[in-house]
Amino acid sequence: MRLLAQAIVNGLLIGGVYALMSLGLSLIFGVMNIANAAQAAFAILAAYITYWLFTLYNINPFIGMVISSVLLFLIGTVLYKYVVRRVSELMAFTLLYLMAMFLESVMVFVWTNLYRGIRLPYLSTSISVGGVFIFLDRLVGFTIAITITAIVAFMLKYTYFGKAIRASIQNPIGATLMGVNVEKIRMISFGLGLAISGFAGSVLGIIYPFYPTLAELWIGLMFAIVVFGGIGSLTGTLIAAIVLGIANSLVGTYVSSVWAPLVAFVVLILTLWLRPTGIMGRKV
Amino acid sequence: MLENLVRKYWPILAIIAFLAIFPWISPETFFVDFLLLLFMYAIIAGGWNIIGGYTGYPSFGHTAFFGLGAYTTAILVSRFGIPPFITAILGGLVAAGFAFLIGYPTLRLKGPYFAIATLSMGFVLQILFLNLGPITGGGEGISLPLPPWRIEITITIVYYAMFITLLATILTTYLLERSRVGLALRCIRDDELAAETSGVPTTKLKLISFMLSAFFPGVAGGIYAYYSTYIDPFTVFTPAISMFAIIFSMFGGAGTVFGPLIGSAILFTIDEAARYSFTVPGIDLIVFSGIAMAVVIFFPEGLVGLLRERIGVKIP
Amino acid sequence: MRSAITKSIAVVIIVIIIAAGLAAYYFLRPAPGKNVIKVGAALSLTGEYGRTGEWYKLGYEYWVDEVNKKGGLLGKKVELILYDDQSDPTTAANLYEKLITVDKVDLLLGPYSSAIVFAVSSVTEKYRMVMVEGGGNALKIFSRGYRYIFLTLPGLAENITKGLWDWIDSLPEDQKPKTLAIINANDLFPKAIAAGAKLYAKKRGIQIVLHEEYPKGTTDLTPVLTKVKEKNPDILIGGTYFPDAVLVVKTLKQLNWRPKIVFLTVGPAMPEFWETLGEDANGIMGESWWEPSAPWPGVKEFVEGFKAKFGKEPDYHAACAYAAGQVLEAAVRAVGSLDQDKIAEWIRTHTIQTVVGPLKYTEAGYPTLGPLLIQWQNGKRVIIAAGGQVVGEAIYPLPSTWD
Repeated sequence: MRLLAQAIVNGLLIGGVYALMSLGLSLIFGVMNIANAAQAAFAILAAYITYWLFTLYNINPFIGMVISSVLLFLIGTVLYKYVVRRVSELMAFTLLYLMAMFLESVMVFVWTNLYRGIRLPYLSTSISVGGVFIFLDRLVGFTIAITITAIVAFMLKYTYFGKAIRASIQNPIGATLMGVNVEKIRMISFGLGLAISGFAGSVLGIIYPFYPTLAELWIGLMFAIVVFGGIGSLTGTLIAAIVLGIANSLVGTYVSSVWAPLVAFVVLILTLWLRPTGIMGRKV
Repeated sequence: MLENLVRKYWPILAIIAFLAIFPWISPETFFVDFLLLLFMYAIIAGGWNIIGGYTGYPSFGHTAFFGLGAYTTAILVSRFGIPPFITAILGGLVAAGFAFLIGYPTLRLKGPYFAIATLSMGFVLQILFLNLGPITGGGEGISLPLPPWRIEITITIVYYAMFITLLATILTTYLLERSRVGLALRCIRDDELAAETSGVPTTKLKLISFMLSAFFPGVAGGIYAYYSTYIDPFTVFTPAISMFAIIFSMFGGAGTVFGPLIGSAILFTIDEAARYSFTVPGIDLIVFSGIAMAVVIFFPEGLVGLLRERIGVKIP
Repeated sequence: MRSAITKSIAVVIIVIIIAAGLAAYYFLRPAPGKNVIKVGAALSLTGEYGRTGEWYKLGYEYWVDEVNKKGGLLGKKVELILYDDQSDPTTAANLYEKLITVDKVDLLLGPYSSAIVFAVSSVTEKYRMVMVEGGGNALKIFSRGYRYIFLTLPGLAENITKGLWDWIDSLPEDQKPKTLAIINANDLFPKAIAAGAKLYAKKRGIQIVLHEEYPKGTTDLTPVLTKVKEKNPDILIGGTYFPDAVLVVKTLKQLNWRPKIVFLTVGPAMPEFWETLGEDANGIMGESWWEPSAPWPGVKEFVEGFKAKFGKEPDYHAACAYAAGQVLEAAVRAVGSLDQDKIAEWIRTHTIQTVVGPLKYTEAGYPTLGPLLIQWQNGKRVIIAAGGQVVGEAIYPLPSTWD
């Protein structure tokens, strides 16, 4: 029983961080129907930026992650305006996948494939609640993830930009008719999407060791979450992430760790096959 | 009649003749080795071209077919002693069979969803082959018996195997392009809805195209396993192979007969030269993805398309 | 007419490109050195095994230095050509093919990690070139009937836990541990360790309560170790490399649990283990194939010289790397030429004195000395067992929680 509880808690906490990472992907996918294959690579880039700010300049990683996310936002908007926009939707996936390769190989070249970790010794302990151990680093990661998600949700619901973004998701033509500058919204959404994933990347950099090619493992998980949760539904993404996080953890604990990576792909393939709209998504 | 054919196609026949006798005139075995690998990538790219270039369904997991071919050979040769080149053909068939199985659910998906699904295909196979140890050797891989000949002879034999497979791939693409099936495929690529309403049996044709595109990389994988004498899931199910297939094909010109070969010839050569001049591995991938991005943005028709449209040179 | 000309132009372009490519190779290839003996190797300098691979590099460099100080080999200077395989077997295999066919090296030293050695040895065996390596000791490497590969790690991966068992055997009956959990990554070397450990345990009637594998390269061992903790074994053996060894300790701390004995591989033998984990590493046991206090001839000079050159003492990886050089050196000097077949024959039929001990080879190409058992105690690696004897005092049992 305790084992089950531990597995669920672990899965839940890490699921929160996965949710944040996939939120960015979901946003971009929803607003402009582009599957950003480079999302994970940029998240890792953010992790590296936070890492170097911490290691070289002693900047507190919690501040560092804000800096790296802002940087990612800027990169995202520029990238959208000058690169992504120039190709058709179909080619966009290819282009972004190539960009992911490019980014990864540049990172490998510049920073090598050596494992890095943002080590905060005060986070490497855990709190015991009824015999179940809650790892402090994951708890902090989870908290940050939920906070940012809440901020994003708030922004989407109550600010002008947020409403404009939601309008663009639901009905781009209608939105334009209502006076929304859809192109500008897309640009901002792309930047925002990268920034959000950047936050998640930095958080993951605190919890796990990371290296550039880790992006290849994450991207599958992220797509699984977004597709399973439903394109364009941020709530769906959240639910899917937590479900997958727990599923991963349960499979790892009760079956074997070597089968856990398959869970995400199986979910992805089953969803695409049986219910492509996902749990809560709009029509594909 | 023969004279006319030769007159019309002499440039291509000249190259084929040259490549056919190359192993005997090459100063170093190294060059034969290099060409053999180039052929291999051209085969995989050529296979991808059928589903990606002609049918408009870009597969992001073509490494799956290569890997299946490789493992078929590895298991049949090392456990059952079946002659290697037969196993390569069997490997191609296994790959095509897998394409059939996977094709049904995935070819229904549009655009990026097909890409995501095929992307997963590569990873899923890698994980499966890693975990099903007793059948596949798992993470330890499979070791094939060393060929009984001297290394130079082995390389020459493998060279011809790859060369013949490449000729088959190109010939098939050429015939496909000229046939009604090819025309139908291009209709599917340009406007599937219109094709369907015109009565084109899209599902059947897409499936055939996918299976063809899987067969050749499967054979190449089978030959590769014998040549390399050691394979494991990390080597043969790597996303890099999928990427190279796409990049080489697109750079050369997706949807053309010689595009994949030209793309492979140029880019693979650059890769090898780069890898051996800079002692730091990894630059090749940077250069490639950079070039590929430029291709996608600025000239998606690829080199062949470029030569055709802007310069007026006609290449099939 | 027009189309024939444009077609031929196209074809000519293609031929030129290919020819240019080939020409580029021909000229880019370094000319075979006349007065230099080239020794080639690829090592994992980056990637998963990067930290460990670095030690091999130092070992090889030190050897080349020492040989040249003695006047070189066969009267010629020795030059080391070293590439980074990025911890990837395919890259490594390609690099060795390049070393042999393009760089045309005269002698080969091996890469690091069993999986990489396994892949690379297929290449070197095909070209019939001797490769002496101190980086891969899974039995599978030596079970293919290959004649050109030789190991300088004093024993096989399957026997890596031997020191631990020797020490356990010496404990009084009522203190002996009874249950064991084994975890390992799912590639060659860790699997070999697990297989060997299981045999040792079964022979002693120790119950194996869990044997769990995890994906190579994983950065999360929580599910695995949670399971282990649930089973509460007396011993935990981890078939690890450096990154996962560190991860095991970190995760155990987060789970606030320890078994009575924690034995990990590769990681604990490296000074970086304590550097990364600090106090948390206290009490962790591991294998070592060599320590600076080893009694063999030449060890003192090796340790001091190494320290003088690199500012730190060598660990067993560097020592095995150096030993690989020593084996090649001895063979070449004895045989008087670079004939690979003669070198292989000589190595197989002689006992060679190296810093890791006197190496006598079986038909298959590996020595049969055993590993040491070490344990981290207050920042130092203490040798607990060596050569079948207990020579040190161990911290046992480890406290079961971390508070």
